[in-house]
Amino acid sequence: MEIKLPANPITRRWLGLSPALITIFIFMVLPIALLGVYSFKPADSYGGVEAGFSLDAWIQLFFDRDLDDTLIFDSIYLQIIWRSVMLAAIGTTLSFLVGFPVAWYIVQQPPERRDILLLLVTIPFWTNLLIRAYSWILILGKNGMIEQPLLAMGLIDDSLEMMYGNMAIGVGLVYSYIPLMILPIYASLEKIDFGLVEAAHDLYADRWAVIQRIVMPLCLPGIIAGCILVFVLSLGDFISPSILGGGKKMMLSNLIQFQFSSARNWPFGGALTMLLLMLVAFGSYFYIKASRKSAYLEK
Amino acid sequence: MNKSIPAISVNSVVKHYASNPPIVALNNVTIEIQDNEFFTLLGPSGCGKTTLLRLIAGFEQPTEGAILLYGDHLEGLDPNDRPVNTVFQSYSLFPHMTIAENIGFGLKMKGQSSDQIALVVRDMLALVKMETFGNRMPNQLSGGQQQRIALVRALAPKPKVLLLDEPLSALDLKLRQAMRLELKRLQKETGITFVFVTHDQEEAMCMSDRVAVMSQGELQQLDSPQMIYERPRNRFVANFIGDVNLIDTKVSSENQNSYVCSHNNIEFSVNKTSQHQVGDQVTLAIRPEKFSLVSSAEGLLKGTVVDSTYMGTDTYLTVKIDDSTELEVRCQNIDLDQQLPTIGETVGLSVPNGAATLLED
Ligand SMILES: Nc1ncnc2c1ncn2[C@@H]1O[C@H](COP(=O)(O)OP(=O)(O)OP(=O)(O)O)[C@@H](O)[C@H]1O
Ligand SMILES: [Mg+2]
Repeated sequence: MEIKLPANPITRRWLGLSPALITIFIFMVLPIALLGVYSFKPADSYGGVEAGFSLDAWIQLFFDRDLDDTLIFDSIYLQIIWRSVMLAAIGTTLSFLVGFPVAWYIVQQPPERRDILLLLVTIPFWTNLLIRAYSWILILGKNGMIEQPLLAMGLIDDSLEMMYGNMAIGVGLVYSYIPLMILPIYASLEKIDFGLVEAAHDLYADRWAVIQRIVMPLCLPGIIAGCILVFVLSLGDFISPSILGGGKKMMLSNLIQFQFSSARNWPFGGALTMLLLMLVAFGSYFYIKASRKSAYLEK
Repeated sequence: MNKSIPAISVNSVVKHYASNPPIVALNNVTIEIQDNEFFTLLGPSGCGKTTLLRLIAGFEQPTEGAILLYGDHLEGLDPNDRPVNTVFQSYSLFPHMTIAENIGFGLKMKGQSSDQIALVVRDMLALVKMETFGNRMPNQLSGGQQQRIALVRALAPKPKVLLLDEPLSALDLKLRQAMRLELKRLQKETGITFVFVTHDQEEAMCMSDRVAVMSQGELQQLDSPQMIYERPRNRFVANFIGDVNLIDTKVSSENQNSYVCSHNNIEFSVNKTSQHQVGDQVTLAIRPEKFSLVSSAEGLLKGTVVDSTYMGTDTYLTVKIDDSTELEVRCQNIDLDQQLPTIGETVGLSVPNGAATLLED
């Protein structure tokens, strides 16, 4: 049997890509577009949306409707968004501070050892996200693995209150997503010509200067990828905030989840999702631009 | 700096690389490199040249023995604490920095002000006639240009010793020849001690003050280029540098500073460069251009031409002097009318006094 291929090379290329493009379209573009459309519809009080067009969901993001229908600026959702972004940023920074040295250490080991270490790095992925979050309660919680010995030794006489706050959420985020920081950084570190490191050493750069001036700029793509991955996933994580944060402080992700479940306000959930998406897209774009620029200016 | 203290002393250095069994990269090497010298490490691939450079630079630690820089022990000093710079074989220019930043890197790390650095960078670019290249990135340079930048990057911080690991091997022949002269000039101009690694004997011959010939992690001979060529110590050196005829002989008599060695009743008088007894089997080395053609009645040696190859500057003759011995003889082509013997002709060969060298092995 003979299949006739289109003669035009561009058509041919698109044809070749079509399975991937169709998959991406059905599983990624379509659902997001659907959410975008939903955000401009009136809410159906049983969940779902009604026909028609409404800006209510978007207005709700910034304003509260008073009894007499006047709009009053209300920052409650913006605060949640701000808090979520800050927490994700802190989680990303911590992941980088821990992840970069780990990746740098692994890349300096002999090859067989590297493979084992890389496997170990992925351990957090081996168990369910929920179980991982709960296991942190055992470690950080009242009378947990950290407090108990300290109490027994008399170093502290009251609970440290490590659980159910920003600190516990931060720990949970770092722990959950650090492999996504380490792996891309490792991948780009591995490609660095070690001769450059030696050359810098030879030219009077100490260890720190070598890392700062040679290693970091050269593995910038890995750092950017790792930071974006961790940031995006941290921002969207609703398990760490609700379990480790005790659900006391609402995060953007909790808020979105809430709209689609208990609150049954799909349009508002859609609007929040679109906002999150825009935040991530713009954030990543400016982050990439800024770090590229600084890498070339800094030198 | 005291000029009488060697720039570098390598004292009985042994270097093993961890492996099972351990790889012996250097075996008891002792070398003294003088101040302001163009010193070359010459040897075939895998003989330990790079290893020795890396030991001096501080990238590896000796298993045994010590290395001194102007009398000071280098043990325990990191590469960044040694006033020694390296020109790497692969150049290793920092790809994310401009040429000027590459050259200034060492000085910046030494804490010099950017004004001072700018001055040095300008001088360095002028030194290799690349004044206008400061703002380019390394990947915008040709191989030869990168090579020159690698060189001045290592020179810019004014190291006490400059180590060069086969810096010319990636260049084409023309450029390589030009760079040889340039390197030599730079060494004289800067007065910095150069330790140059190569496996190219021609390169070693034309640039060096002294050459250390190495093989399998051991020092074979350390001498001026001339002595290395004219008085090779052993078979390895004789064969590695240039072409050579090796003749098996027996020591037939001895006087105060020479031996008479005989091969099929042909007697050679050679200087006592190594100790042997009368009756010992010894090998003589004679370079192909040392012979001169004479009539078959006259020469010390007599043989039949079995092969003749015209090579432009020279004609290479193969002369069979007995069943087991063929000699290579080189005759310079001075003018067209020159009558060279043809294949099958019987010729005499004369050997000037001192042309034959007694080898140790
Ligand atoms: N890091 C290493 N680990 C194990 N063995 C090594 C290492 N580096 C070099 N060797 C071995 O030590 C010996 C000397 O190597 P070295 O690199 O010094 O040779 P070289 O003279 O520079 O050769 P070339 O001309 O090919 O560069 C070789 O047998 C090599 O295989
Ligand atoms: Mg080498």
